[in-house]
Amino acid sequence: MSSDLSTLSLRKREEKDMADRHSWILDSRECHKLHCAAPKPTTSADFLAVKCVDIRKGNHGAPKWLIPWGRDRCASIRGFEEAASQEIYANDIVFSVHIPFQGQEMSPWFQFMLIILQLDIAFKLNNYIEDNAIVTLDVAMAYRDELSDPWTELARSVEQRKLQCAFHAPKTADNQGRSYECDVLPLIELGSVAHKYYLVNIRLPVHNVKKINMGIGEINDLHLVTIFQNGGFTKVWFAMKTFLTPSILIIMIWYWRRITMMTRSPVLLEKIIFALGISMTFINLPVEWFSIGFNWTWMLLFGDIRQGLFYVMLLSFWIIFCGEHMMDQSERNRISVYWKQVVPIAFGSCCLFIFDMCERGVQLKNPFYSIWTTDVGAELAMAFIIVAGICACLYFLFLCFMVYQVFRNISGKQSSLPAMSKARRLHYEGLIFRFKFLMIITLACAALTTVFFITTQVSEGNWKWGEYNIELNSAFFTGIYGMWNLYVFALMFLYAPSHKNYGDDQTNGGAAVSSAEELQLTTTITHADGPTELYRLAGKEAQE
Amino acid sequence: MLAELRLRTDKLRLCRRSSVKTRRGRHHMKIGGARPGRDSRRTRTAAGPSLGYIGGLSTAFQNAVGSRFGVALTSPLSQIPDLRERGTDLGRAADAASSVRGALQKTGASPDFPITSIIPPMDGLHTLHFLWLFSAAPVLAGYPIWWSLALGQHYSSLGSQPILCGSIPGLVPKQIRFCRNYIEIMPSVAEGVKLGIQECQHQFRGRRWNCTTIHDSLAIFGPVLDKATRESAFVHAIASAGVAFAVTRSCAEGSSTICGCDSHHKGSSGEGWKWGGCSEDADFGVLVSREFADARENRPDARSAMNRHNNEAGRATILDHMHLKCKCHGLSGSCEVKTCWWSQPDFRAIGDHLKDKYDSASEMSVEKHRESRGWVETLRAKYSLFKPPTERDLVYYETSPNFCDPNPETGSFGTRGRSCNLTSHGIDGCDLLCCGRGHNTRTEKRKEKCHCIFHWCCYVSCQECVRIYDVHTCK
Repeated sequence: MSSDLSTLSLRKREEKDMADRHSWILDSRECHKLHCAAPKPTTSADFLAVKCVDIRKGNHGAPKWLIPWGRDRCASIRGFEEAASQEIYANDIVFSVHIPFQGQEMSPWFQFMLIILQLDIAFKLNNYIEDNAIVTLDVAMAYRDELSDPWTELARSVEQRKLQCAFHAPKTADNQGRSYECDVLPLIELGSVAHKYYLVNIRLPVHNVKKINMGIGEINDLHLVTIFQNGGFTKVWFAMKTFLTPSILIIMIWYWRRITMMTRSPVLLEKIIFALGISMTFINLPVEWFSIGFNWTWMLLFGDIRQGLFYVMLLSFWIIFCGEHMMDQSERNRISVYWKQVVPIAFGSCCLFIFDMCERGVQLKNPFYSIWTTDVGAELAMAFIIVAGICACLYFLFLCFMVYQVFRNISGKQSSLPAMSKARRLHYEGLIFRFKFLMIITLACAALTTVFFITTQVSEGNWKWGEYNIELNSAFFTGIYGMWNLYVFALMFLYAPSHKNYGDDQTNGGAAVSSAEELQLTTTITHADGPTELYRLAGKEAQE
Repeated sequence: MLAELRLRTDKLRLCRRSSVKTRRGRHHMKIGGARPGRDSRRTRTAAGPSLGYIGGLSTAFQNAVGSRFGVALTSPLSQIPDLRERGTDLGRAADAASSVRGALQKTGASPDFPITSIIPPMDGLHTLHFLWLFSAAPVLAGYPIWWSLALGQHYSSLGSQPILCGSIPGLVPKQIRFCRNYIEIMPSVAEGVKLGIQECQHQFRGRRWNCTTIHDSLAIFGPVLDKATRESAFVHAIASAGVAFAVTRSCAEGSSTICGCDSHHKGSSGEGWKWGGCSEDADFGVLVSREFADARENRPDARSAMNRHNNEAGRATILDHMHLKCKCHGLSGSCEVKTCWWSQPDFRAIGDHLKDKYDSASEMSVEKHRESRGWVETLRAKYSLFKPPTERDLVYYETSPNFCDPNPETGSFGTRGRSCNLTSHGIDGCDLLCCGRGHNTRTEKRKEKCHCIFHWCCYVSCQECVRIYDVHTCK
C-alpha cells in the first residue's frame, strides 16, 4: 500500500520534473520575446576552440577535418599538461571550432560573418611573449549543408598575425599563470553566409630553425568570436529598403519630368539633386534579396561602394548648393567652377576605395587576408586613411567657408531688401528662405546622425523603457537610414522647378523691372523659368 | 548495482521529502535549533527514539552517518572522538553504510531505506518526519560535500565516463534533479569547483591556512570550513564563481545544447537564434551556479544565509569583471558599425578581487526572528561603526582559529614543517608563519632544468643545472 503510494507520488514527481525541466531557464529568458521584436543589428558569439589531437601520424593524404563535438568528434585534450604527458606535439594539435553551436544553423539572412581570434596566453617567467612576436596560423575552413554531408573546403591558408599583448602586473614569479591582455586579431571575413555549418581548424605549427611560432608565450586557449548580422534585423532592413526604393524612384521620375518640362536645359543644382536621388536609389535597391538565394560574397564590397557613392554625391551637393546660393552675381552652373572643393572629395573617396579594394576586394580571393596584418600593409592602409582624413578636413574647411560667405552675402542682401523692386526682393527672399531651410534640415540631420553615432559608441545599445527593452542600435540604424531617405525625398520634392508661370502677376504688380535686373536674376539658377516649389511657397508667404 | 540502488534511494527520498513539505510546510533545523510549538515537540518525540536506535546499530553505520553528515549529527560524532583526526575515510564509510544496508536487505528490509521497516511502532507521519530529518541531514553540513567532485577519482573519470548523479556524495534532491536534467554541464561544474580550489590555494599559498584539501575524505577541507569563518566565506565565493566561470567557458565550446541560446524552446532548429542571435555571455553560467550551488542553502539559519550571500558575492565578481571587447566593421572597416561582446576575465583576477574581499570581510552577528514559517536567522553587521557590507562583500560571523598549531577540532594543520620566506616581513615570512616558534634552515642541492627553450605547446628542451638552496621550515 505504502509502496504503491510512493511509486505514484514518484511518477507524479517525475512528470512534474519534466514539466519543470526548463522552467528556470525559461524564466531567465523571458526578455527574449522582446528581443525578438526588435533584434540588435549584429550579434557576436564566442566560440572556445576544442583542442583536438590529430592522431594520424605523418599528416599526409587528404586533409582531414576534425570536429569538436558530435558523433564524429575528435580525440581531444582538456589542457596542455595532458599533451606533455602523452607526448603530443604542437603540430598534432588542432584547434577546432564548429560554427554555430550544436542544434543551431547558420542562415543566408546573416549576410556576412566576421571571425575574430582571441588568444588566452599565460605569463611564465621562462616562457614569455617576445617583442614583436608573430604567431603563424595554419587555418582551414570548411562547410556543409547537411549534418550527414562530408565537409567541403572553403578556404585554406597559412596566416601570420602580430601579437600585441600587454602584461599589467610585474613580471615576477608570483604572477606566473596570470594572463596577458592581448588585442583581438581579425581572422576571417566572409561576405555571405550561404551554408548551414562551418568548421574552422587551426594549427599552430612550430618550427625550430625557421623560428616559426617561437616566443609566443604559453597559449592556453583560443577563442573565435563570430560576428554576423541578425536575421531579424536583415528582414527589417530588407523590408525598409523594399519600401523606400519605389518611393524615392517615383519622386525621382516626377522630379526629372518637371525638369524636362522646362524649356531650358537643367542647371547644375538640378543635376546634382538628381544624381543624389540616383545614388540614394542605388543604395535602396534591395539587391540583397538575391544574397538569400545566391552565394554572392562580394555583397560587403558592393555595399561599401554604394554607400561611398552616396557620400560623394551628398558632399558634392552641399558644396554646389552653397555655391549656387552665393548671390554674388558671378556665373557658376558648371562643376569645373567647384574643382577646389570637389577634388578633395574625389581624392579622398578614391583613397578609401583603393583601401577597401585592398581589404575587402582581396578578401574575395582569400577570406583570411587583412591588410593590417603586415607592417607594410598596415602603413599603407594608414596612409590611405590619413590622406582621406586630410581630404575630409579640407572639404569641411571649404564648406564652412562657403557657408560663411553665403551668410555674409545674405546679411548684406537683407539690409538692402526694402529698397529693391518687388520681383527682385521676392527673388532674393526666396533664395534666402530656401538656403536657410536647407541649412536647418541639413544641420538637423547631421546633428541627429552625430548623436546617433555617439550614442551607439557609448551606450551598450539597449534602453530599458518600463517593460520594453528597446534596441537602440537597430532603432537608430533604421531611423537614420529613413531620415536620409526623407532628406533626399524632400530635396527632390521641394527643389523641383515649378512649371507654373509665375512671372505674370509679378509684372502685373507694376514694379519696374529693369533689363539689367532681369539679366542679373537669370544668372542665378532656376529663376529664369519660374520658381521652385519651395520658392513658390515662400513667395506666397511673402505675398501674404 | 550499488549506483542503481542509490539512485532509487534518492528518488524515494525526494518524493517523501516533498510529501512532508507539502503537508506541513518547511521545517528545518530540527536538530540544531529548538523550535517551540506543537510541531517541534512531535518531531522531537519522533527524532529522539530513532536517533537512539541508530546509536544502537553497528559502529560502522555510525561511522558512516557521522562522517558523511559532518557536524549535523553531533551526538554520534561525540561518541567517536578521534574520527576527525583519522581523516574520515568517507569512501570506506559509505561502503560500510551500504554493507549495513545489504545486511538489512537480507533480513527482508526495504533496500532503499532500511530504517523504515526497522521502526514498526511509529505511525506513518512520524516515520516520514524521521525520514525527512534523516535525508535532510547532509544539508546541515557547514560546506558542501559535493565539492569533492573536484578532486580524486571522480574528477579524473569525468572525461572518460558519464557522471552518475546518484554517486555524487552530498547532493540535495534539487541538485540531483538538476544533475539528471543537465548531466552535460556537470563536468564543468566539477571543473569550476576545482578551478576555485586551485585559485584558493594560490591566493593563500603563503598564509598559515593555505587552503589545504584532504584527499582521502569527502569533506575535502576537513572541519576547517564547518565554522562560519572568513575562510569559509572565501571558499564559498570562489567556488561559486568558479562554477559560473567554468560553465560559461564550456558553453562556448558549443557542444551543449541547453546553454548559450534559446533554440530548444522555440521549436525547430532555433528560429530565435536566426532572428535575434543570442549573446547570453556569462548569464547562463551564473544561473547554473545559482541554481546548483545555492540549492542546499535554503535553510532559515544563519550559516545558510551566509553561504548564500558569499556565493552571490562570488558570482557578482564574475559579472563585474567581464570586459567589453569591440570590433568595428562599418564602411571600409570604420566604426560606423561596431559589435561588442563581453569576454570572461582571467580567473586570477577574480581570485585577487575575492582575496581583497576576504581581507575586508565584514563580521556579522546572528539575529533570530519569528516568522510565519518559524524561527529565521538573519545576519546583521556586528559593528555599526563600519560600513555595512554590500552585496559584493564577504561576510562571516565566527572567528577563525589561529591555524598555528594542529588541532583536530578546528581542522587546523598547524604550520610546522611549512617552508617560509626569511626575507619577507609579511605573513609568509618566517616570523609570522611560524607563529614565533622559530625555524630550521637547511641547504639543499636541487637538480633543476635550466636554459630551457619552450616550444608551444608541449615540448621543452632544457639543460640540467644543480643549484643550492637554503630552505627554511617552521619548527
